[in-house]
Amino acid sequence: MLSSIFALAVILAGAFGIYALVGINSRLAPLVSLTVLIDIALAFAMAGMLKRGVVAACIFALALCAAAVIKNRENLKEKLTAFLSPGLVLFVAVSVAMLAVLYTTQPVMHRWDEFSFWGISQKLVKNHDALYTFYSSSMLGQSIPPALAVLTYFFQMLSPVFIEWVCYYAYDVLLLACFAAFTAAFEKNKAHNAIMVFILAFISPYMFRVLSPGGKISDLYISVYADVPLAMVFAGAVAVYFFTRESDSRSIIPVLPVLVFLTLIKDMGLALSCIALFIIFFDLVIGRKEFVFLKMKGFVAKCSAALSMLAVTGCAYVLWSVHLADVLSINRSDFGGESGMGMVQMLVTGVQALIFGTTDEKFLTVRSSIFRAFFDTKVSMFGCGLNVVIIITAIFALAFILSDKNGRKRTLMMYLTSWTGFIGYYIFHLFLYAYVFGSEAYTLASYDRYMYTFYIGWLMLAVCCLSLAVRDGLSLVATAGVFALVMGCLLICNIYIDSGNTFLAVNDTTFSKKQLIDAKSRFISDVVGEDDVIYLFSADNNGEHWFMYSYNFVDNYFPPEIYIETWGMSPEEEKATRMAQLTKYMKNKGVTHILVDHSNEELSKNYGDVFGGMMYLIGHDTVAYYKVHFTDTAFWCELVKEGSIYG
Amino acid sequence: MVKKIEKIKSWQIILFSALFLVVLFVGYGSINYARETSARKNGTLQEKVVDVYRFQFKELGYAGGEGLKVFSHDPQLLMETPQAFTSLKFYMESSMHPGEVVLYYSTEKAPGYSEHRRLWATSVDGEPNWYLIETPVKNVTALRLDPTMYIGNELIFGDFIFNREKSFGDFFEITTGRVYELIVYTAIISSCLRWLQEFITKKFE
Repeated sequence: MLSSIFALAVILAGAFGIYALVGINSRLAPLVSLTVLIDIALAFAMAGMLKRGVVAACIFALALCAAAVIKNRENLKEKLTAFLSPGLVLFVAVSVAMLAVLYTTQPVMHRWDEFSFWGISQKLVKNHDALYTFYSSSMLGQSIPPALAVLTYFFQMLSPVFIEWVCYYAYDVLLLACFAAFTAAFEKNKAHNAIMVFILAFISPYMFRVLSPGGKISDLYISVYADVPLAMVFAGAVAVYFFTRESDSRSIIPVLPVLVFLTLIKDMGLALSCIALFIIFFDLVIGRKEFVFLKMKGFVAKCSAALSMLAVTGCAYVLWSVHLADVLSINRSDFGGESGMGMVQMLVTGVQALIFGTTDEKFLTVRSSIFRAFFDTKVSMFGCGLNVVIIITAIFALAFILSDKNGRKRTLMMYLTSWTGFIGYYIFHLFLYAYVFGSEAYTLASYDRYMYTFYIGWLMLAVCCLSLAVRDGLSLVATAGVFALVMGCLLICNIYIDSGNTFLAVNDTTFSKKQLIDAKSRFISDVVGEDDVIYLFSADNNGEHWFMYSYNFVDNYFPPEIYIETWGMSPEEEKATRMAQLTKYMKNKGVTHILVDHSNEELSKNYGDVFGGMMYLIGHDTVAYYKVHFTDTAFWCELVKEGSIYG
Repeated sequence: MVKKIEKIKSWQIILFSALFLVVLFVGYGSINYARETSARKNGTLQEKVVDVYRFQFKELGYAGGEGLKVFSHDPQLLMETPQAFTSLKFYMESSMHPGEVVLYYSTEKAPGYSEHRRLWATSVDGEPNWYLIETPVKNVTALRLDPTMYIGNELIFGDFIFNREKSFGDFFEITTGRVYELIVYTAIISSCLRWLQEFITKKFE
């Protein structure tokens, strides 16, 4: 709690410093400040000095704030009042409210990939005070960039232990900073517009996440998945540029830290960074007269501005690649996956196949199914991708009609460039499915999750254009447009969600599975040694419990479950085969202990003997932990601890 | 008139919006209270305690064990008698984590079961293995309880308490959801009123 408040205060101090010294819009300041601080910590972290990086970032923010106070000591009061614009007040108020909500409900991690990567990586970083590349663990995906893990670390800098809800809070502050950036067009007299745009930004992810009405609890705002932050930071980066009035480097430089952060959220961040700077470049060309960048003028200035953005994005990407090569000897340009292609090779092969045709059956199948998916796969409350694009087009059209002359040009250009970006993004995913994914490519696994990242960002870009129309164009009518849009979205959201299935209502049926595993983990935690290698017996389970246990005992190694083919064997043969293969596997992996989380008749039939026949008893609220002893061809178990979590 | 409207301050608009919502909240609670008490008085709504055998079993049954074994991913307990319904509290032990526990209902106007008429069970604080489902009074023609979503689960049921008595205060319970709605809708309504004020006084650039 204290740690979160401190982190928020540091970000605000940095925001005030940036606002008062550099003179950027106070609504954009939180996002810029947050990304600058995390970028600093990231740079240190890659050099193996995460802790020092966080301290450096804090000192930097406080120094900025102090410098700003000293510089403005004459008119500090006016400066502070001006700093408190509607968007910034909303950011602070909702951040505090969110802290109160999360502190009372204390949600715990509960979804699949939180245990396989996003959550466990953050737990590792906190426990080791270093990036997950510096030590070995059973976590998958070490090559995924660490911006979000460092962000959550930043929010726990004063906490002695890892706290899950603080991770959610760190994400929420990031998202809220982006929402504040979307309201950048509105001064005090337009506070009602700022409120509406903020609310729209807040509910917009719901429209893409909740696809069936009255569904179960949505994990939005209590999730450490990267897809929504990716979308919002992408749109936020464009907004940071889009709303600045200055036609000089002050409109470009604040974008740079945001782009660095975006690139390091996840591999897809690079693609989105490129799309963002593509959009910004064309807006520069068409929308900014007399643009000056580092004393250069005209088209040259615009090109060098774009180049500087490209350079920092490239630098961020290269830096992480070098770090991987250095620490882990991983070649990052190699995507791995099905065909083992490098990134460039994938793009070249893909484009060739797209233009000149190919006989690759997988490519053709995936191409036709991903093309059809745009028209018939439901990706939002509005329906399929086509419907989403129609709605986004309508918002752009409204913004175009209501804008002033320059606004019209910019809106039209933004529409065209974002379309180009969308096509690129879509085709990129075709290549990913065709060349990187395995058999799950045929069902377009996680299609909606990958797509809504762009749709949410795109929707927010359209809203930015409409906001511009409120600021510069037919204000009153455009305001009505914003209001109608928000009302429409709220109406459709009301059909699909109520407060009972949002982050506000954290009930046991959402988290009880994890809480149960937590209780079992606590029960045996006093007998689990640091170096124990543990094989998990969890019958009737699809592997989720394996992830949860390896997350809970993050420093122990859990070899994955072994699949033993016994089809068509007699019961005696089956038993013997299982015993022999499991023994061999466990010896190979150096297993020292067995954890029985849940057993069923089949397990007890096959392995009951080695556990002394007691195994069938392990179920819902009981757990057992055994030491493994090997003989030449078999193993037997010695009970260490067993019992019910209710005592 | 226009001058008067122009003079209205922002805080007055916000206060008015908030008060309006509070009135709505009290009104909604009162209506529900009135409906439920009258239904209890004329006997259509009754508290009753039944056991699991009042339900028809689908995809679950006895298979040697102590409890009911689940045979598919969609086991159902059906009760196809028309009744007034407002809440169900029940006891269920489960051999593994039950997953989602939901109740579907159908009405005369809307027969069949649909995700639009679905209620979610929450576990009761401090009473392990008790689940609770609540909704404003409805005349239902059938109820369908999906107690678990996992095949192989073994369930032991206790009492099913229908339509338990509620206190007057229960109808006006202030949940986090209500507070959230109050804040968000106050913001929205006052923003709209502010726009209306701008529109009437034409005080825009």
